[in-house]
Amino acid sequence: MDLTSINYLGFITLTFLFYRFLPLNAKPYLLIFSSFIFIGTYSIESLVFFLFQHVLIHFTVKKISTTESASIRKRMFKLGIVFIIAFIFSLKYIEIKFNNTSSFNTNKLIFFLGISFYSLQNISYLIDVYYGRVKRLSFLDFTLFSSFFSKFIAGPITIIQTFKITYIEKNNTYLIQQGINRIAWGLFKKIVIAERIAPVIAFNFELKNPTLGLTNLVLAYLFTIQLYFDFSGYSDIAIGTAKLFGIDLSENFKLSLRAKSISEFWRRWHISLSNWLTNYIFYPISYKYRKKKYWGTIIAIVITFLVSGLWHGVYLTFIIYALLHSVYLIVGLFIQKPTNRFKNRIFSIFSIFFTFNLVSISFIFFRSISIEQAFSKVKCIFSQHFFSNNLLFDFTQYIAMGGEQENVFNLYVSLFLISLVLLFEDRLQRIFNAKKMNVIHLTLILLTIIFFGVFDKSKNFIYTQF
Amino acid sequence: MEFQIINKLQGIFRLFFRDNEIVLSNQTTAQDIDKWDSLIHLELISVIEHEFNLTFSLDEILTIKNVGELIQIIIHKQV
Repeated sequence: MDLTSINYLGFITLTFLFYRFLPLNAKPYLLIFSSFIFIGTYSIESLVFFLFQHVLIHFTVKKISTTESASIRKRMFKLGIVFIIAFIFSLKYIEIKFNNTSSFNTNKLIFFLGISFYSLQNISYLIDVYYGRVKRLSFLDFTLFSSFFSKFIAGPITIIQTFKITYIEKNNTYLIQQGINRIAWGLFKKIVIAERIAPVIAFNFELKNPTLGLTNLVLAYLFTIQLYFDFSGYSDIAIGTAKLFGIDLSENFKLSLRAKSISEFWRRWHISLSNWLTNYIFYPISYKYRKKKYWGTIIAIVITFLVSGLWHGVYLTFIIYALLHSVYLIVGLFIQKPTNRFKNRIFSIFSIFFTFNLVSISFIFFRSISIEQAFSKVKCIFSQHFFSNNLLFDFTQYIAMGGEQENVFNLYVSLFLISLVLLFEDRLQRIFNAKKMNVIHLTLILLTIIFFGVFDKSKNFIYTQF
Repeated sequence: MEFQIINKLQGIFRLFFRDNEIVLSNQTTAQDIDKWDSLIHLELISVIEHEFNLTFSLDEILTIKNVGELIQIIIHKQV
């Protein structure tokens, strides 16, 4: 059940209606029951694997928090961590072996749905209980925290400290209004924008391999925009749905494409994963090596990004993507202080554009189906064949054909509208993050989704494969 | 004591970020200072440790949410 499908809207409406009328003590059971149905509709294997890891982690944590022997606690802790990591990598290995041979394939069987996301949550839960940062949860609370359906497929990755549930009083509807606003905004981002770009990208990465530098650069830009609207739209729907049930999930994207540096980009992009990696990988390593000054930070950056790359998949393309971001950050570390003095508007615009280019180049590795394809695309961008003699034809044919646009005019209208949304994104976001529903705004966005949405392609969400 | 510490911290922050406009309060967080990110957070903490002649544990570093909490830990360690 995809978060942008009619089935999902029906599913949350039904769950919501039951939720409103059930007594307080029955509400968590309903949410857990709905979450199990939700996971089960993808595949029974997902539910079985989830329950297997879930029960095992619950009893490991119980042993850690009840035993007084430090050596047993340590042994159980290590066992739990090794188990989860082995679990992630063995399932990813099975997926590579039986499902496909290329790194980027959104049509993979969603066999082990959400595994990477709830596994990271379980690792942080184990670490936090072991170091006494949080108390062990009851089996009921842990199950609700772990399985809650809107965040199950693709986050936001939640740590226990930020998972807050407020049972809404019947006369208090502002959370519900805010939830509906966010869901509408998420649907718009995913169905109207990301899905419009998706065929262009799929056509030019999977069927054709354009050789013009400009085309490849624009494709890299478009993929960055697609991934951003796809993933942030999905997060909006997840956060909005949670609000309907009084659950506060942490934000996952904050106007990410307006970052002025790569380090700022990682504070705005997939924030829940960045925070997780910072707290559980980067800080412990850089703390350990901090006497080595810059070298300590460099070691920590490289290891953190390698972990992030491997988490996305055991492919060379993801490793290169991770190493590229490590290099960006390390270089940024040395030029950050000298550039602090430039604070004018022109420098800010230049920084945003430059960062966007760096990110887009890195995403070529993220999206390519092989390392050879990625390098050939990057090589085209930096070659002398950046422009062609027949620019209009050579440039537009790949993008317009891939986008299934009726004509070139239609293509430019689409690109213009996407640019407008990017330009006024902060204002639009403010409107659809409001605590009160505005009927006119909501009607307008729903009409836009109905008339300009791409519905038949919306079954694939890029991040389900991780 | 709190006033002296926040003043001293403000001086450290201004020098570290090369920005004389930084004004610290108990509520100041990393979000409020443009260049204060996780990459240089530990470097900043090292400078604070050196200036106040103390050491923070990893747990303390992970749980500090704002300048006010940082000040409380410094006071606690200096007593």
